Amino acid sequence: MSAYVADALVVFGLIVMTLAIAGLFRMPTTRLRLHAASKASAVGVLPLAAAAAIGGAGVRALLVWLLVIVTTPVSAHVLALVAEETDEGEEQ
Amino acid sequence: MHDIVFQLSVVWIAGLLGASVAAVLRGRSRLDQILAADAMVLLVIAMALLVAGGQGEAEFVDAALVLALLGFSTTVALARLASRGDER
Repeated sequence: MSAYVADALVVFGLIVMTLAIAGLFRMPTTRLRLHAASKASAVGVLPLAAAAAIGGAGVRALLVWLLVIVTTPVSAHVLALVAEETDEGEEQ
Repeated sequence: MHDIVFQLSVVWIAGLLGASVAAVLRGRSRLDQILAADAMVLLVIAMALLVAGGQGEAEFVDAALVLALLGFSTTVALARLASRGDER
C-alpha cells in the first residue's frame, strides 16, 4: 500500500518539476521565470523526498526538503534583487 | 513493479536535465543562465532522492544534502557576480 503512495508522490513531483523547467522556457521575463522555477522547485522536491523516505531512504530524506525550502527563498530573493538593479527583467 | 516507476522517473529527470542545459546555453541574460543552473542542481538533487528511494540506498541522501547546500551557495555567489559590483 505504501508503495503505491510513493509512486503517486513520485509522479506528482515529476509533474511539478516538469512545469518548473517548462516555465524556464515559456515565461516572457526574467522575474516571471524566477517565479516559475523557484516556486515549483520548492514544491516539487517535497513529494520526491517523501517518496524517498517511504521507499527506504529513511526520514533523513525529508531533511533535504527542509534544506531546500529554507534556502530557495533566499536565493530567489538575491536573484530578484540583482534583476531589479540591472533591469534585466524588463527586456522584451 | 514499483522499482520501474523510480527507474523511469530517473530517466525522465535526465531528460529534464538536458532541457535545463539547453536553457543555460540559450539563456537570454546572465541571470537567466544562473536561474537555469539553479534548476539544474535541483534536478540532480531530485535524481539522487529517486535513486535513494528506489534502491533503498541511504547514501544518496547525503549526496542530495551536500548538493542542496552547494547549489544554494553557488547561486548566491553567481548572483553577486552578475550584479554590477558597486557597494557590495
